Amino acid sequence: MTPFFIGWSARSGLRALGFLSPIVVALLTCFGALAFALAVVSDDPGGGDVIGEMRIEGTLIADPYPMIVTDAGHTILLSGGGKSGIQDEARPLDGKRVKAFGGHARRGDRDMLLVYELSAASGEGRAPTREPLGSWRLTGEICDGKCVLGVMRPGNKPVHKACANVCFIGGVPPVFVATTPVAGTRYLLMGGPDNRALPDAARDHMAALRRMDGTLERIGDAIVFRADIATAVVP
Amino acid sequence: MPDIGRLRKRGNQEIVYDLTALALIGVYIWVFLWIAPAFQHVTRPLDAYSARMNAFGTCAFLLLTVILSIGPLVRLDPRFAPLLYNRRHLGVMTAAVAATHADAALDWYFSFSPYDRFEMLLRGNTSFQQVHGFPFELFGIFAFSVLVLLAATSHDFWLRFLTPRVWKTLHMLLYAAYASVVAHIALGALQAAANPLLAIVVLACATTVATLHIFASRRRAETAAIVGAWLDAGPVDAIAEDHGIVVTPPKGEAIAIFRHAGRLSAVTNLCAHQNGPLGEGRVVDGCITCPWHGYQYRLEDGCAPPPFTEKLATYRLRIAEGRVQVDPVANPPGTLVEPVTIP
Ligand code: HEM
Ligand code: FES
Repeated sequence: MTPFFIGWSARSGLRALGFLSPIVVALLTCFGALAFALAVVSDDPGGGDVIGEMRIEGTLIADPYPMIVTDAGHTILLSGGGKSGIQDEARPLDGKRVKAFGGHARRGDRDMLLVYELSAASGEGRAPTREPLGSWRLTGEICDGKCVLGVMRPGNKPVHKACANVCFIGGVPPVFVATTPVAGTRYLLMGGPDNRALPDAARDHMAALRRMDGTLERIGDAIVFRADIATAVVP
Repeated sequence: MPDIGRLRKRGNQEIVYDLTALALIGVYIWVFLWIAPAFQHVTRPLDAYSARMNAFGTCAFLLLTVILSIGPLVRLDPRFAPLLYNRRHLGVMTAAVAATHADAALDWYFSFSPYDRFEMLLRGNTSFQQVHGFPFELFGIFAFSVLVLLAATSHDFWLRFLTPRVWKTLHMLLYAAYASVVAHIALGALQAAANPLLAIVVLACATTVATLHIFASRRRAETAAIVGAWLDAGPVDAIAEDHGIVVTPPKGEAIAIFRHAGRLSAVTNLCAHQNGPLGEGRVVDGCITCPWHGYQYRLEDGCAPPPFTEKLATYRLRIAEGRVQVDPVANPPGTLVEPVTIP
């Protein structure tokens, strides 16, 4: 006769132990092994990181998204604390010489300052070198600049889409991560065709592979991709 | 009213059960967050929140897989019954694990913005027309709501308040929640994963749950034949001493028929506690004993022995030419029906 288990009876519980203890051990082993395997195959989030703080001085450009071009011609994107941009603080300083202090996020050749302090500096603003690079059709992913440069790891792909949109809604500058380097870099600053911020329609194309048309311009040492979101398609 | 759960003697089983369940969760999270990272091939480690999301999310999914497999396993082999005894505790623990997962997601992906994080959870992604980029979080929210609802109503108070039938129907939502979690993973993490392992694990788990249910449902009894106003329940000899059989009438609830000390009695197959399948139980100490949590009922009137107050519907039986026949019209719960003596 097969044993019959009654939860409240200690005797039948003991009898059940013979059959169940190997099953429990197998289950524990299976859970441990799965945890190990699933954790080990985590995708590589890439090399971006917050690498400390920095103090910079240069000319502020407010559009399409705030950036500072240093005297050496290095272009640094600006973002606020948390998931917000600093458009409001940057706008009155457009074209002026400024100094800024904040956290330093970096991935590849692209830098971003997570601004704690921003103010006018003595001296004149200096128009940065600008070089139009013509019309392009590019394939890549619109990411929120902050996360993809290393504030969050990973900071791209569909699991990160809602988060990227929260950043975008808050005004953090988006960055286009091209599948192949364009004019020497995979990380392009973004804007709309009118040199303003990307329109809300960009949210449907965030954090997923898209192909879209636009124009490229080099500002300082960064490339700005002014994309026409209406042309975005799944490649 | 006496509380059956409290009055019944509790062995150490519950403690062993809970400790085992906690060990399962503990081992999983410990290996995932503290052992495995040293073996990852990454330029830089995942951030702590993402790691926590992945660890607790996958853990909750695996626990749900275990919970949903217990029912059919017990049906296929009664020796799994002890796993069923405290399944509710496992459910509550799963809800807590899922809550840790959801909390990490809210704290990381949806916080730090000028807007409310719950508003951002719902408004952050509205690309409903896409598959690759669909707001997969919604499926997670649905599954989590079900887990919380079931955990909140898991106490015996709610069981009595809602009636076992409503309570059990409510618990069927767990299947919808499981499907929803599969969609949550398929439209979320799997859209980004370069390695197929998570996809394989999810597919294997879902297939296991489905297969077990298909096999277990094959074991359900066929509808009994009608003989005039009576139902044919098969030969008397098919019922072993102190065991039961289940008879399914064309309409209405299944009926359990038991044999004890040379006599036969019939009650509804639905236990008054959580609608457990009484016919798969045994007669212990002269009482029908439910295979799920061991609630007991007298053979002759379906009443739980004092001080307990549960009552089962009883049925009339007769024996004709060596075959058992049952009147499919149920008596009111607790009605005395003298057991039929086997000639
Ligand atoms: C309010 C409810 C929920 C929210 C907001 C939520 C959010 C998320 C997010 C944002 C991710 C992507 C994480 C990443 O890969 O970086 C994710 C993945 C996942 N979620 Fe949820 N989730 C919820 C409920 C649930 C529930 C109830 C379960 C399971 C019972 C679950 C299981 C998973 C699993 C297994 C993953 C994949 C983890 C991996 O990539 O390894 N989630 N969830
Ligand atoms: S369902 Fe719980 S004892 Fe029968």
